[in-house]
Amino acid sequence: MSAISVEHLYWKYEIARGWALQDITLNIDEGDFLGIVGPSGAGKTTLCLCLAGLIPHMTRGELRGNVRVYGTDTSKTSLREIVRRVGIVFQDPETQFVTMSVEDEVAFPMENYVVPREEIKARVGEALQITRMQEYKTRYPYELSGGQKQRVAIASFLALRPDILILDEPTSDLDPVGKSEVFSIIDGLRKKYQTTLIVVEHNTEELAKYAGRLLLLDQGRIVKEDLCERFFDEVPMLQERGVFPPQVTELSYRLSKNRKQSLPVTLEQATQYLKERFSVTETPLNKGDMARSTLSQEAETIIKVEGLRFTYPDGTEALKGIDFKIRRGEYVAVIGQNASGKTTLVKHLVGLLKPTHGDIWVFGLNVKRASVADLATRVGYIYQNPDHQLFCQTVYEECAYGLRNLGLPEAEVKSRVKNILGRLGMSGLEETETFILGKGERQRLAVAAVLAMSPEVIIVDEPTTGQDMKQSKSIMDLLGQINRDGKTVIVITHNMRLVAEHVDRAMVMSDGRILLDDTVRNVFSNIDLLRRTFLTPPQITMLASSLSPDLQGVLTVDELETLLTPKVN
Amino acid sequence: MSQRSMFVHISKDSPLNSLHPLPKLALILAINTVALIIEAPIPFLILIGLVMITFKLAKVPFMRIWRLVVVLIIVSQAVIISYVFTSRIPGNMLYQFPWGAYVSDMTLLFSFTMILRYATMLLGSTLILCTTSDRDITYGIVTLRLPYSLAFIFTLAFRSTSIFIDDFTKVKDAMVLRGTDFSRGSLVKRARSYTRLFIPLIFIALRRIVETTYAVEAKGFRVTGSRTYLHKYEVRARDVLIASTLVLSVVAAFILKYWFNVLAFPGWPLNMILRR
Repeated sequence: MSAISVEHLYWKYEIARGWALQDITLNIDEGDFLGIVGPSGAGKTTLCLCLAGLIPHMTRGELRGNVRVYGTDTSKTSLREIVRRVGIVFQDPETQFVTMSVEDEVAFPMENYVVPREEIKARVGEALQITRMQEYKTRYPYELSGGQKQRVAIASFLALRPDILILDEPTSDLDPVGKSEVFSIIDGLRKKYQTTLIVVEHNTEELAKYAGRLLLLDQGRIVKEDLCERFFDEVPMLQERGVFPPQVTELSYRLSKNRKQSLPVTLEQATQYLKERFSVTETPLNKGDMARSTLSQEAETIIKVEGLRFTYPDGTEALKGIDFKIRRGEYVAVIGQNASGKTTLVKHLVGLLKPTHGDIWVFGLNVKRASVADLATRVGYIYQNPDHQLFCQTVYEECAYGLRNLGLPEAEVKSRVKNILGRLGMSGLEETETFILGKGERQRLAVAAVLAMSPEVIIVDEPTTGQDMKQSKSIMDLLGQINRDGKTVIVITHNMRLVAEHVDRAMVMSDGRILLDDTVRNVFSNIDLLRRTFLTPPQITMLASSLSPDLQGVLTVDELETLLTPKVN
Repeated sequence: MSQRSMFVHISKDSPLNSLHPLPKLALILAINTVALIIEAPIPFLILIGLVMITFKLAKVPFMRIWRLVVVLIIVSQAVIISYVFTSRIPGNMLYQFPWGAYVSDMTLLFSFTMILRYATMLLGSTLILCTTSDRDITYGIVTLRLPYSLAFIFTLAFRSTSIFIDDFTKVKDAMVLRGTDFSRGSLVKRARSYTRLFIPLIFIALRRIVETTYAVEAKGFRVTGSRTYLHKYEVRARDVLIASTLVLSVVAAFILKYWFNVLAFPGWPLNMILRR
């Protein structure tokens, strides 16, 4: 039975010149799991809004064609009738919250649909248990970490159990295990209640495990739609469009001579595929040669943290004794499960938070006695949400703002702005109004505005959230370049693939403590410890380990490619 | 462990916390209504004292009250300027302006009384917002048999205030991190910085409105019709007693002002002292 059918759908926003969606024809059967991928700005969210009936009911514009939910034309049915059957979880969980406690938030849709109180209680409990949020049920949703917020947003629809559930980048803020769990949860929902799932996601590795079909959207059009097993066969085409196939598929594509054969898309499939066809070279992984860092152990310590503890006003002890040093020129990733204290930690390094106990010295200044302004000239901090840090009218003005505050002459300002915009692929946007930029562009502009000031230490909090893989890689490449220029870079991210490909040292946080602080290669070799902290190494690292114990610590597709040779029949 | 009210985290064992939402709503209405009725400085001081004791009992962090001082200073300046330059309150004249308005000892006393009125309302409202969650307000309004949609809009508006304050802090921090100094420079320069600060706040607010509207619709909210509730509040005898006492207090204040002049300016005990 068809749950959703779309016929020649066109949509144009009232204020836009061009079509956001063009000639979309699509059929989704009941109980299907459809994954939607595509670069930022491809029209994925717009398509979700159309499928959920919010377009055209809540948004002005021009609609052609039709969307039918269980045979009913959404443009001719009341929105309330549509949302009874279609639930939608948006990309930004914060804007979806309408109450002040987690349990109220999960209960809210059920209360609206007059579900009896006892039933609400039972379903709230179940949804919070599934999403590992039981202990936070009385908490204020806005004060949760990004990942926890997303769990709450998902839980509110899990509890409602709609026939069709649409999730627009539901895991962009989640730790790796959290991502897997969300996919596992929603797939469980599909199996148990025959829920039809439509998931927009940049993380193709998780999609490949669960989705039955995938759809590539670019510039408002469907470019490709196929079964998951065949979808990733054209690796270069996907990469060109900002979609990175699973690492195991990319490796298999590179090694495979037979282009007609379907490639493995999951870890298990790839292990079997490669074991049958390839053997590990006798040259072992030369961890020394492959280490990226050439940093001298003698480099000056610029950040020293001793016995740091921090408790929020609500009594939550976020940091429970942190000690570390960072030397000039290091490239450090702070990784860890959601709410492990990563953002709280780095906010101390710029003076936005002051330690409850312990001391922090940044360039010799004790942050307890230094103001944010004192530290800001040497330490740049880029927020997770770009909307909080863009306050000028145009892209040029945004980048020039900090430089002018530094008292630089206008010629120097102009030159630096031109340079940084060029490096971030934003040349030509100088006169564009900042608030009409897409989320990805706003994120890059926020990065550009801080980098233009050329601080000695750059702290970036989740720079790749909501970015497609191409943009994420471009940001990480830029940070890498800046690091090679001698700057110290500290990055918080849940994207283990990017950590493995770009960063030298990783600090693994869990429950307010640093559990492991080592080179990225050593950190990703410690799979058991990572699992305990809800992290998993990149897929390629897992693949290498499953092929041979000698291959523990492989970080990239390039590395593993050189270590495999075809078996001679 | 604490829970979040509209403004702060409060201790769960605070006595105000265990009240039914109805007396809490009655308290906010009573404080503000009585403050509007009273015109006498001494009764105002007594009322402020009572509110401060309630703050203590409710275990509201002292910092929350301390922050109000800045607001109160600004309000006081506005009150004094408006009464000094425009009023004609009979008393011992101290100075007369060319446009006819004059300052008397009663002008100063009345200005002081008005400052106390605003202080009472500010403290009273803060007390309630520090001890009341959106759920309390919703259930309080629904208990009064008013439509849920009204309660929902009301609480959404209140909640937006605290979100706005959070956003304000984040944007201000981001500006400081990019070299803005809000404490130095000319008044014009500082005003320009604050103006700039509001650009993202407006943008964020607009985006939130659109997305929250989507979310509310997607969660099946409707303006009319029945709904169920996760929580069940029992109205106990003490809740009825407190709410009744508060209502009676408003009635008593009205009578004391209009029948006995006790709360009318200059009010008890100044009316007796000044009469002598």
